[in-house]
Amino acid sequence: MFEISAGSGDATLKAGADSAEGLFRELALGFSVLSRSGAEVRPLEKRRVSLSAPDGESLLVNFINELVFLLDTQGFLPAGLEGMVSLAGNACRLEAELPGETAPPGLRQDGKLAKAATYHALKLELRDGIWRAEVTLDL
Amino acid sequence: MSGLIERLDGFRLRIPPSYKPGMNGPVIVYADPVIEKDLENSALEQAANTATLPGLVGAALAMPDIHSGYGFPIGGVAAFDARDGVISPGGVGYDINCGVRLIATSLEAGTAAKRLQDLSLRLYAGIPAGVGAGGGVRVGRREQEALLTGGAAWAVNNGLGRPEDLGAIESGGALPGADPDAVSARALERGRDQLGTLGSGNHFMEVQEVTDVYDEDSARAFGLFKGQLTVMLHTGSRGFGHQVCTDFIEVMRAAAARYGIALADQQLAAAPFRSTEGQRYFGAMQAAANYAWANRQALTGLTREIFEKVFGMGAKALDMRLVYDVAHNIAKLEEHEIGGKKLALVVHRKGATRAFGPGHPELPAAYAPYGQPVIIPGDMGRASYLLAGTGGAMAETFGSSCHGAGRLISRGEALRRARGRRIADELAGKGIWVRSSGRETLSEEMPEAYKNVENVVAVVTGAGIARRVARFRPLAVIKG
Repeated sequence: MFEISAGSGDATLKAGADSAEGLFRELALGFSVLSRSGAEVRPLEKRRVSLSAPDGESLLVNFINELVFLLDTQGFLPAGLEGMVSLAGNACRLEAELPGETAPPGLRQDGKLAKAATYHALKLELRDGIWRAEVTLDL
Repeated sequence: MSGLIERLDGFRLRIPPSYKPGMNGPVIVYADPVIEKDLENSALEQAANTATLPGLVGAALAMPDIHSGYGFPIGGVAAFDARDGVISPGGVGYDINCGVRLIATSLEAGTAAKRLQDLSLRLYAGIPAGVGAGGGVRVGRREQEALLTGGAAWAVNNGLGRPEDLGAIESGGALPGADPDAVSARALERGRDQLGTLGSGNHFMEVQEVTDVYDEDSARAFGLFKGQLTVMLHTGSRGFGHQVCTDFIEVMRAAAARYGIALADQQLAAAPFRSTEGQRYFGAMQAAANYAWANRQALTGLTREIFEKVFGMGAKALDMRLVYDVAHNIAKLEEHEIGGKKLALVVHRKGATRAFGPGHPELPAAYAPYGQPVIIPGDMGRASYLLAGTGGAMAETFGSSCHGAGRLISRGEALRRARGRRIADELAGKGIWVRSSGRETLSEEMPEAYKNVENVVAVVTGAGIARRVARFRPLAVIKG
């Protein structure tokens, strides 16, 4: 489950899931919806992503920034996430493949180009067995 | 917050250092009662947070166009002692050296009126703009280093402008400390095909008419006259600058912990200016600043070509002279007089414009008697301004002023208010041709999404940190 809301020069992406992998999958899907204004993204190709960070917040921001980089340089948008996400302790990791699609620039014209994920009002928590995250994207 | 703010005079408010633990000085907010009404508490809170960073000199400053940003507010100025103070990527922003340039023409708006629609269509077709727009000047790996150190001069040397343009750009269009080795491969990749592109969001190219001249001598020195057709351009360092900021926020978070810098907000991540991390960021940031100047220079070259075709005139007859180019997202090492002594300061201007007063050695000789041109874009339906820097700005704002109208409502709220309306038609009814590549951009950027620039300019001129030279109205607008 994810939700997008627009701010003054940014957008906030909120997501929730019952696992860390699920949370990051929802964030990836939300990112694609934001970037393509809701148009379908098909799982036609894959990108491998490998990240590590000293804390969960940093892993989250780095993951979205990975999506920003793939979109800005290759036009790639994810349709899902397959792999492992660990948010434990001070050695957080993500090893995953992103099925998705390289969208021609024309198809992205109606969407928003997120230029960076920020630590502004960042939230990441596990409450009642549900992982929840909220990240602000600079547009 | 409101009970703690003290009004100093008609144009200044003060948040005392006692407002929050760790503040190293007060916050001075430039606001009259009209601007004060719309001040966001969150932006003022952010201004107070900047005052907690080590090495703050004097006060943290908030310009009248202040609004909430990430870490530092947009419309904020903070200067830190270069000896023991910090540098912070959050104090510069993601779009490093986002800025504005103003280009004059020999044309009068009245005589150019019947070509305006054609001009706006050709500018829209010829200027790469919008979400993810590449299609600019593709720069090979070997050339990138020359671009990052050369800035606007690199573009001029590659046929995208004239040598005399360089004298009319802040810092000559290149910062000398650019360090391409401090820039990541990712930043280089994001920047490779975005040179000469406008981007999206609030970036624009606007054809304007000079409607009012407030100071004939200054206007003449800057090459402006009433009724003149001019071009204003607003863009920055594109994905390249964003990646540099993204990279160094991570570096600075770790550095802040290592140097014992307490952060009121993670986006304030900072390191001592003289530290290895501080110097690497400063080098990378200067490279991004140079990229932005090359970008605006490349767009100037494209714009001149389009004007020459549309009006069927040669470059000499059209005389598209660069009036000035200012950065409004940058940190610069500057010398300022503090308490009678000259101090080297790292002046962070995030959504704020340098506004050096008359006689400053960094100004072009022809402009020196009048002060630095300060370009203040408004919104696409009302007006923009050219101001000049003053001695007052040198004395109290580290030679800084505002940078624009400043947003009043969020993009989401603007979309809601624009529902059922045709913004392009409304503007066309006022004689303004608007072209935008993004479906929702016009709604998000509609005039009432911004503060009235008249109110912002009234504060900076009333406070004496800038003075009016000329006012412009939009005739044709290209948005990303």
